Amino acid sequence: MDVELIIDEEPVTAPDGASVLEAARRAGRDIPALCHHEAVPAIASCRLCLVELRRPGRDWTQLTTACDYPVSAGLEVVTDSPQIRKHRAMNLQLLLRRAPDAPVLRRLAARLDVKEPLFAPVTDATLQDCILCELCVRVCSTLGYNALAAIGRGGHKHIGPPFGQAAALDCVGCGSCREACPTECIAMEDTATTRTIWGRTLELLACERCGRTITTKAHAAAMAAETDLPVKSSELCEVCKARITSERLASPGR
Amino acid sequence: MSGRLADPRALSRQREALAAAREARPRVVAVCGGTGCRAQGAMKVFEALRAEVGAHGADHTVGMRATGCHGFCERGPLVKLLPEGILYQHVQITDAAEIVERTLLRGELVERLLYEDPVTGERYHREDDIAFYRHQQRIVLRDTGQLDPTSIDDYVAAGGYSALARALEMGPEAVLEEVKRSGLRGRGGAGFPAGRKWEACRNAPGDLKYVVCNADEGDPGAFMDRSILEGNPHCVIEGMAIGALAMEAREGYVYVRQEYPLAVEHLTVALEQARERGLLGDAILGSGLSFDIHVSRGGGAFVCGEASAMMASLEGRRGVPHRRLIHLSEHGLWGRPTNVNNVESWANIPHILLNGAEWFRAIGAEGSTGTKIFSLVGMVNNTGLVEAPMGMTLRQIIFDVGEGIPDGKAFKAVQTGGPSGGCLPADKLDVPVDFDTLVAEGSMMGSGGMIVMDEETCMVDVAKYFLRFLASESCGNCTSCRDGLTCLHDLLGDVTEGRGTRETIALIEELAETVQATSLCALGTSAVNPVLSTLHYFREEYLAHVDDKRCPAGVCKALIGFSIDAERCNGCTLCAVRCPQDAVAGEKKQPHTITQELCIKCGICKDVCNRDAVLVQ
Amino acid sequence: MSETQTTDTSRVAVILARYPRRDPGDLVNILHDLQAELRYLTEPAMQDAASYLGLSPAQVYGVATFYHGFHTEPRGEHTCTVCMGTACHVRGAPRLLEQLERDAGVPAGGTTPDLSLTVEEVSCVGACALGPLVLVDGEYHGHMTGERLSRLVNELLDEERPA
Repeated sequence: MDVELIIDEEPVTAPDGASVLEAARRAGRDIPALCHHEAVPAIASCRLCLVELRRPGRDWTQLTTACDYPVSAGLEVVTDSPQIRKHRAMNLQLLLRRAPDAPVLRRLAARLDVKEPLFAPVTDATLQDCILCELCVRVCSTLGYNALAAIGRGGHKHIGPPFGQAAALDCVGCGSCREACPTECIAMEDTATTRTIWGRTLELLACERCGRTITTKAHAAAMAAETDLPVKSSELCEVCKARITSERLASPGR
Repeated sequence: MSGRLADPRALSRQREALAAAREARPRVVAVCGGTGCRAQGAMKVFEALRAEVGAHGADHTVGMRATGCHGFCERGPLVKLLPEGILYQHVQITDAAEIVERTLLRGELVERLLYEDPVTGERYHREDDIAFYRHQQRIVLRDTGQLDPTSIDDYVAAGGYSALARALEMGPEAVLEEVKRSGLRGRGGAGFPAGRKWEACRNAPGDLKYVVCNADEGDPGAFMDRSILEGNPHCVIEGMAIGALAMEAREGYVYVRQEYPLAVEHLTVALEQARERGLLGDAILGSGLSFDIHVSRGGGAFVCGEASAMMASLEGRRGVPHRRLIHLSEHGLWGRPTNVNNVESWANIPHILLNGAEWFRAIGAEGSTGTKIFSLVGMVNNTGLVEAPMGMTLRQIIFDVGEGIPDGKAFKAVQTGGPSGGCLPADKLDVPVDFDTLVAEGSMMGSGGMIVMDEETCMVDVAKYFLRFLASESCGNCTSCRDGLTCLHDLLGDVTEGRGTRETIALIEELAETVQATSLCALGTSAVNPVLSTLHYFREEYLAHVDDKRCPAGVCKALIGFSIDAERCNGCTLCAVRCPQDAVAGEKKQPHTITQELCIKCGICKDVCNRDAVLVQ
Repeated sequence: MSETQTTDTSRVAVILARYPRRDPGDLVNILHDLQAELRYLTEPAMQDAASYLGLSPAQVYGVATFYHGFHTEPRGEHTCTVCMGTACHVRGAPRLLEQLERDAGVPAGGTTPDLSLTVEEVSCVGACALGPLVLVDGEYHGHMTGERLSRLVNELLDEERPA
């Protein structure tokens, strides 16, 4: 069931259950939303995806986050205004304080004409450049590993393995957290045979055919356990799997 | 007396019997057992009095009762003698014999234990004549100073659970109507009309619903909920049972902050007693209502006073609020319809049911019906819990009930509404205290905290204090709140430490706007009220800090200096001896001096000086 | 496993058994009970609670560290807490806290190296009329002054030292 709403005075159709952010992006609006990922629940942490909304029948608009606001019929959305830019710029200044050199923040600063930092960078963070968006925690949780915790609260909140351990013992080394991280602050080092991430060093699984790294053995085993497929079936990388499939399709009489 | 009460008539009969027994022995020694008085040795006083009564062979004619908070904590340990209502203050163990011999047996007053008015010097023996109590209208708190909170018999004898019996007779819809018509607005801070919230919950689809009592009372300076739960837990249980009837809920939770162990204890005892008597559990008083209550402890987080964060905590998770596009009345605990009300709100319900909505509407003000309990604390003569009709002015509360500022100092400001509220100056003293007027003036009622400040309070320091508190209580979800409040606190630190400029103030105002406009929950959006209200009403004080690097109130350490007035100093050397930094020099009987470079402004010298010779400038 | 460890494990098991539904919703109440028994939340205790409730250790640790009432480090024999509520603040609580930190040699939240004293601050225990207030091992001491506090702390610290 589709929903019709109005974005910047244009009618836009979006699926029921979509967020205003998703609808606006489909309609081509470039709204920054660093803590958002369509595969995990939204927590509206970064406070950048601000929009102005008016619900049908009301005569007041509200400034609010778009990633956690569902579309509804007749909703009027404005994605750009002086008010939006002002508050977005200030929240960006607060994020720059935690990650002054993160490329995504620098790009946003250029777009918003934010030149000088207003606040001195933090020096005592346990993870440099982390903006506490908890995407890594949410992704790890959605995948079922729950290896990472948001620890403490407020300005002292930080992300890491439990109990102050040096290594995240439930981590399987899939690297999804690193891929999701907006400021690229999660360190991951691969050698020919090992991967080191969150203080753990795990053995890598290489493609039998071409030798390319697929993932860690722990990750492969975990996926196999979830899908009932034998581990063996994942010892080919995607490229080789595709090649084998097309080879088989191409050879006649099979 | 024990055993299940089969129906409302059994309850009435029991009440009559218990009340008659109490009337036959009207002499009761009621010792305040609230946390404040306990801290001052009240339970030892209780034991001493009991021993004396026993020693005189009077156990059969004199009842001993440890009650809940009398509200006048400053004067504890408090002992009240019934039926006359004679109030003794600052009672020590050594006074027990005299009280029993002279007052109980011979009807004589012990003058030195009587309350002495700090302004007129007159002594009063009846509680009701004392200024602190005279101006109050104690409805919710009426029983907390008279009943033993661990005795369900006391509660029943005083009419307890008869409101529930009445509600059962009326039926859910009629009960709902009564609560709606009463105009009761939430006493926890938001002031939302309780009847409307109840109605939304009642109408929400689903057959498993919850009623919750939010006893997280996190506002520093507020302790009314603690006193109600410690002093009369049954009234909350009764209120919730009535709510369960109206909303057709079967389960309830009381979420108590972990800093209140006595409240948890008394509540747990009360629940057990209510169950034993058939006032909680299956088929309450033989009716179709089945309802029970669980006690859940908070882990220590102010943010869990916010209803959705509280629910996260109840569900065993981190107390992070979530955006509520669907009301909690429809989608709350575990996704089910849930009604959350504050302790004081629930405590009002039995009174509304017994006396009627019209009676309640006649108290207080239009739009803010009934009474409100305030915790009147800080630099005020009579500190404690004040229950007053809404609409009383700040002046009446602070100067009539509170009897003004001690030591002849001048009133400077009153902070209302806790960390979400604002500070109001002297020219706002005639503002009536109700939900809407305070908001219009830039503050709010909140849970009822009323902190009085005098000329020696620095308003910039107060704003910084609240920001420090809120920054440490932020759940950490939102950039604007988590980092914005930390930065605001740092900026205020610049101001109080002499590094601030006009630009600092401009940045504070700009950043505060974003924190207010873009935070997810009320902790963030209202966190800027203290700094914005003090900037609005006390701007000159901020400007003195940044333009002149001066703290007019003499508080901000970096901007003040301690020195010794040579004319007043008699060289007793006490300050030199006590100074932790050895910063005071001087010969015996000669005026002493403080070496500024060594002085850490700890204030000990000023504390110990008997000659008022230490100056702070 | 050492004797202390096996005793701890069985103490933990007894507490967990009070919650037969194994409902993750009981986590906060369980943490309270564990802390009351063990004085602080030990890693093994939290691990056991996690397995019992079907949660990951990270999930339990995340909850335990969110709330200031839970301690994940060993505590001192005595605890001295300064109330920093607003009413106590205007009556001079910050100076008392600074003095306490100086006398004990540890900042608020910390414990002396010999584990004799933990120094803490709390925002309001609800005894505002008695401010400034200091709690020593849960006992309330109202109208506190710098002098009395100094004496109190020295008593607590000296207790552990040989005569």
